[in-house]
Amino acid sequence: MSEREQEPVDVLATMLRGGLPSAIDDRARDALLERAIDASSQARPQPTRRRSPVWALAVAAAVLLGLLSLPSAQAPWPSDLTLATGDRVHVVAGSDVAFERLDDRERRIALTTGAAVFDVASIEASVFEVTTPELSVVVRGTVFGVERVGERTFVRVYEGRVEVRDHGVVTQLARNESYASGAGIAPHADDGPLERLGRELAARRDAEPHVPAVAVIAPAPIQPQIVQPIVEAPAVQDISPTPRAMPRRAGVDVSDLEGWLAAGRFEDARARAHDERLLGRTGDAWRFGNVEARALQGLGRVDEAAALYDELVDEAPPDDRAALAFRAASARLDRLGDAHGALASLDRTSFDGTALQERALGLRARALDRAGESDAAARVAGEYLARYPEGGLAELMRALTRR
Amino acid sequence: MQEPVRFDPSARLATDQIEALQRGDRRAIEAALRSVFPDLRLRLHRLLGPRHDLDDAVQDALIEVASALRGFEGRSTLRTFAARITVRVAYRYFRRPRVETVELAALADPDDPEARVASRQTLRRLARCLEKMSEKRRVTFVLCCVEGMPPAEVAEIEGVPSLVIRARLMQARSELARLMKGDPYVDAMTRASRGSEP
Repeated sequence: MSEREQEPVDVLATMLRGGLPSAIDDRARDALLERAIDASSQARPQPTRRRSPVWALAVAAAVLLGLLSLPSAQAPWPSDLTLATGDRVHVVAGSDVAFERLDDRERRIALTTGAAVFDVASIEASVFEVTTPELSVVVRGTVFGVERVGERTFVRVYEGRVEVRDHGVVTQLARNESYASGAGIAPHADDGPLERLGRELAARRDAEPHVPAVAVIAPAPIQPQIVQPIVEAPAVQDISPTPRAMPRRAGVDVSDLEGWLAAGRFEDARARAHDERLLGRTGDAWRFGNVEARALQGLGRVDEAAALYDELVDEAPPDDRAALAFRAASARLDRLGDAHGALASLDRTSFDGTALQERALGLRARALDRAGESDAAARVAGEYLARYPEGGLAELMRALTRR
Repeated sequence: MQEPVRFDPSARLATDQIEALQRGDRRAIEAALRSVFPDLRLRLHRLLGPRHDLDDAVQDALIEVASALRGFEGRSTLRTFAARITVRVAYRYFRRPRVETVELAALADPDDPEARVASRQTLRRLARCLEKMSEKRRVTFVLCCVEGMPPAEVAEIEGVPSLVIRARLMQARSELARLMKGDPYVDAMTRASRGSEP
């Protein structure tokens, strides 16, 4: 879907947002409320949900399988992986862990089932991230465990500090505290299949020279796969949500801000993305920058957006640079009429082998033509036609070659 | 005189509030319903479009929320809890035949009769387009784009992974853009928002 298609949809969403239902007076509203309460109190109390024998058998089998796949209390340490950076990951047997990205700047791990303890070396300049369907964890030097039970995620901190972002609420966890998605923090990091290992690793850390340790947990920007729960989630009371050792503050992640953009809340998204980008805690500053630039475009501040896209090209990982450079170039050419600026933006990175290679080539030909460099435009258009004779811009490119 | 009971639908409830709801305390339930009422009615209006049985749907949703509050454990906010039920009720009403359509309120500048007429026509067309969309896409579009909920929250309401919601959102936007393509009022508003192009 192109940018041009998206903008009218946002206009429509804004229109729909402004439409209000017919007014309702207080008496009519109170009558609705009263009838609802009366009807609900007259209704028969819902019986305790009973599973059919087939379900009971299925659940029992699933729990049994789950138990068989987990190590017993006397089992040796679980699978132990040491990454090239020195970070260690200890995974319970039967867990589903995917290493989505492992390079010098970012290590992203998705945990969809089971539990793991992460012993992360102190790495100030890079990102270590673990995601579950409920949470994602960005770490700089700490020992903590993540466990997924049913559709909830539990985080236990054995050493260092952790910052949890759960649906926009940020909670800081100190050593020996734990967190349950949807419930909050509890004072003791106990239980969990990897507690013994976590404590031993933390003790080892204590024996080493002190290294400042900070971890950040944020809401999951991705959902790797659907996981069917095999055991019932423990009761909320087990987690004791009331004690709060660390202050909470509101927080958002990139997907929240994208929701704001989709809703046309450009100024809110811009301001928040700008703040988050400057904080740059998670190593994802460029992603917030990307949201900020899109919000600026939404606000009609195209020149600022293009400048920001250009700036972000140098900050983003190599795989994402092409998209940013293309956005900058496209904004400069089509919205600002700045052909030379567009060419400069296109020159900031290579599009070879990217999904934008074809469109970037077409854009370059158009920019050259607009800049008055007809020969160069014809040459690039010819290159486009040679590579993509049936491409979406083929007609336009043919016209450029004929000029 | 008793203190009025108040609930913040966007915040997690305190233990005593949850216990009051679980006990079936009438004042607590009324306060909880009162706190979610404006959002609930507006959401149903957005989901169902202009129709005469809106308040029937509101009544159904309120009854379901009131009944469900007795089992509320405070794991989500009241807002999300009520939204989940509201969406469920909306799905039921999607399948009911619409008896009569209500005239839409104009959104544009009230001093400009032309704009008023144009926006009303566009809204009418938009309502028809939304009806043509699949129910799931329509719900996703309204919750994400109109109400500004993050996909993760919509995923929680719908009980599906957020990746599914993102996919539905993309499809809904694309479908709506196709259906509404060429609408003169939307084109004019889009150009105005872009600022520069004629």
